[in-house]
Amino acid sequence: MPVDKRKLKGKEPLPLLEVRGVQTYYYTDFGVVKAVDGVSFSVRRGEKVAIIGESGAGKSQTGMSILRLIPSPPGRIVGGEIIYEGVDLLKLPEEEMREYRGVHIGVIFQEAAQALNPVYKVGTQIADAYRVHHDCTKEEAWEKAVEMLRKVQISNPEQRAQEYPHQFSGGMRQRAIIALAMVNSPNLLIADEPTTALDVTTEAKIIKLINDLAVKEDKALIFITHDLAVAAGLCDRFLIMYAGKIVENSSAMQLFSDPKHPYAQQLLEALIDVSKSEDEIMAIPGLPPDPYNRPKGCSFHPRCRKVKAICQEVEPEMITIEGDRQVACHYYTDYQAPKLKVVSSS
Amino acid sequence: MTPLLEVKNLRKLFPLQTGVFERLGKMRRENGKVIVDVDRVHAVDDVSFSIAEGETLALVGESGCGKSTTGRVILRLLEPTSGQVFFEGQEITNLPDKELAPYRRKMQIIFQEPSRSLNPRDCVGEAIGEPLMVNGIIKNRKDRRQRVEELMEAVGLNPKMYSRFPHKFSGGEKQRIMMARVLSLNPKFIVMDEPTASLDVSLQAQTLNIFKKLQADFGLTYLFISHNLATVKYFCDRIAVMYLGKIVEIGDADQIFLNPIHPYTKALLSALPVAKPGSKRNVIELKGSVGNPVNPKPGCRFAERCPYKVADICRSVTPKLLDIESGHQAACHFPDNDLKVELPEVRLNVKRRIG
Ligand SMILES: Nc1ncnc2c1ncn2[C@@H]1O[C@H](COP(=O)(O)OP(=O)(O)OP(=O)(O)O)[C@@H](O)[C@H]1O
Ligand SMILES: Nc1ncnc2c1ncn2[C@@H]1O[C@H](COP(=O)(O)OP(=O)(O)OP(=O)(O)O)[C@@H](O)[C@H]1O
Ligand code: SF4
Ligand SMILES: [Mg+2]
Ligand SMILES: [Mg+2]
Repeated sequence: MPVDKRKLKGKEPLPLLEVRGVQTYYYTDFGVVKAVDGVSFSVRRGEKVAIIGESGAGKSQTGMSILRLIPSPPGRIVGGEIIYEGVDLLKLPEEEMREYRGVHIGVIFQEAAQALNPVYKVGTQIADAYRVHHDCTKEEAWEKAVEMLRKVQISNPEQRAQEYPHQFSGGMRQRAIIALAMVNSPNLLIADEPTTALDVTTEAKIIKLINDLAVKEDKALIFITHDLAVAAGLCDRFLIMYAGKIVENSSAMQLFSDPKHPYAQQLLEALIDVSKSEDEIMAIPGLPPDPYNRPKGCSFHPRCRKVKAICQEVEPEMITIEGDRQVACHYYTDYQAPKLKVVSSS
Repeated sequence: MTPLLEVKNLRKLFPLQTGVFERLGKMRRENGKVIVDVDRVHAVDDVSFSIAEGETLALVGESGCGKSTTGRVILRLLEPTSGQVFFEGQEITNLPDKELAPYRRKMQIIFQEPSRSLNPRDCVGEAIGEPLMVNGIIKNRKDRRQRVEELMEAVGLNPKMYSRFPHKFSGGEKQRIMMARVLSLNPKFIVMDEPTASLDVSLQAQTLNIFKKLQADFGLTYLFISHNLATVKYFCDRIAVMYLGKIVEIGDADQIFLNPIHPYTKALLSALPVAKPGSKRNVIELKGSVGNPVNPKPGCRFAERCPYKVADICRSVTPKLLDIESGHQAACHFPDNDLKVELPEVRLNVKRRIG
């Protein structure tokens, strides 16, 4: 068994962030969408947590709930607690919450449209974000913006900072958003699909940058992605989400060597192995569940290959196995060891 | 046989925005005239390739190297600075709008950021069905609904979501709405600009399988822009690797994967992420940061970052695309370079054909 580094880190009195039973619902003309449906997990200092799941699983909504950026109406956080350094963010008045955004908790938004304003220069937007929280001149802030753009691999940053978002390529916009999120070096960075638009060599450099930030000074990272391969090289804990719920919470080694939830198992098998020839890639059969009308019992049961009668009726509870590992499945035990070989870390 | 699409010496430069004072500094007099030296982004710089009917060509390369610009110039969403584009043998580069119209329908694009192309006031059904109505393919609402529902199912969207509004969808769902919309026009050629980047692996697989099937059924031709080499290998017949506005290597997918020549191609392949925590491979590191497309220096565009030896000739002479094997070309002065690529668990019998 590999040694779990986090256990050696000495006693940690409080996790940096504790999410307890959060429920974020959307009330629409067509019914209620339980985008986040009772999610609990914690993030320790120095920890890098991945949230993995298919499109619509509720990953972004989980991140946005932590920042209290749920558009209301139609959305509302209807239950739970979000404890950051001992403070329940859900109880704070909006003005105080604003203090937490950007400085304590930074976010790399999934969509450029959410983060960048099309009518301002890219450099101006980053400089302004810096100036809100720092006592400095316009010139100093501008220099900081240029430095951040250089860090995210924008070549010729002095000149490119003068440009507007539409003059950037897709990947350059994504990197500008990363610069914007990191300019105030937040303690907790929520990165929502930060590298989906990047080629592998640029991605590797950006991941390294995010990693340096997260590890440094015991900061923490929540890395939202559907790309298991990228998360595998970065994160030490994995939360697998399905239909608004976390169905498995495992360390990286546990998940990749021995996934417990059938959805996690099928997800690992759907990876494209470039070394193999395949006429069709394995896909998880069936459609993602209708968010207005989730299946009874275990939400995954219509697509699960281990489904039995009880799965269609009773929702499995999250149970703790092997120390701090958790899984929500009635039949998690009877899984044949996966064919995936795992290289042990040094 | 004429290829479906042919691109010859395509070039697209963007002038860089500069402050007033910088511009003053760049002013000079020549023969009594005032000339301002404008810095330019060489987004696409002398690119040529062709795509046969029914084929898929992948365009891969570093962020900002000019992939999207190439796609947009081909479709005349941007006017080229110079060069020619031929579709079905007809040069479309200078066609006036009226004569271009029939080609516009045959040539479609799926964008990198789906939410930018969706109107928040249209429900999903309207968004997908709009081109059907605008182009008079379907005239009544009932037929439209049926066709749209078919399309929704084809891309893995629940037809029950017909009346929902796009902003209520997750990133991946939005991209599938866009796919359904484009497919409604029965195009011949589709530029796919990172069509699956926002999809999870399972949906990626489903979507690519659907696209393969549609391609076989309708003889579609794709230009597939992507940075995901694993998808590209699975999905594409040929691969063109771009670096700073130029194609540095082009060949069959198998040739690129099994016999990469250009040091940039090799670096790209070596950096493929593997879904194994703690796995260690020899990644060919690129020096410095992402390449600079502003006023590039003469010689090889990759010279500043090349992990192979950079000789004088690399700094002075721009390497041309040279034949390596049949259908496989690379632009490097040292095609025999011995940089080794370690693919994750390479099995050398890669043969992959459309099923
Ligand atoms: N404004 C809204 N109104 C109604 N439903 C919404 C709204 N915003 C999000 N949802 C729903 O909440 C669910 C979770 O969405 P979320 O964006 O968190 O998914 P995700 O896991 O981030 O997916 P992706 O990988 O595609 O980004 C989806 O079913 C989505 O349709
Ligand atoms: N409208 C524009 N005005 C000015 N410059 C532009 C414009 N569109 C693109 N560029 C520049 O041209 C270069 C190539 O951009 P392009 O979008 O083609 O890159 P790309 O290969 O698609 O990159 P990515 O993978 O990041 O999407 C970039 O430096 C970009 O900033
Ligand atoms: S031409 Fe020279 S600099 Fe360019 S890739 Fe080849 S070896 Fe490297
Ligand atoms: Mg999301
Ligand atoms: Mg692009």
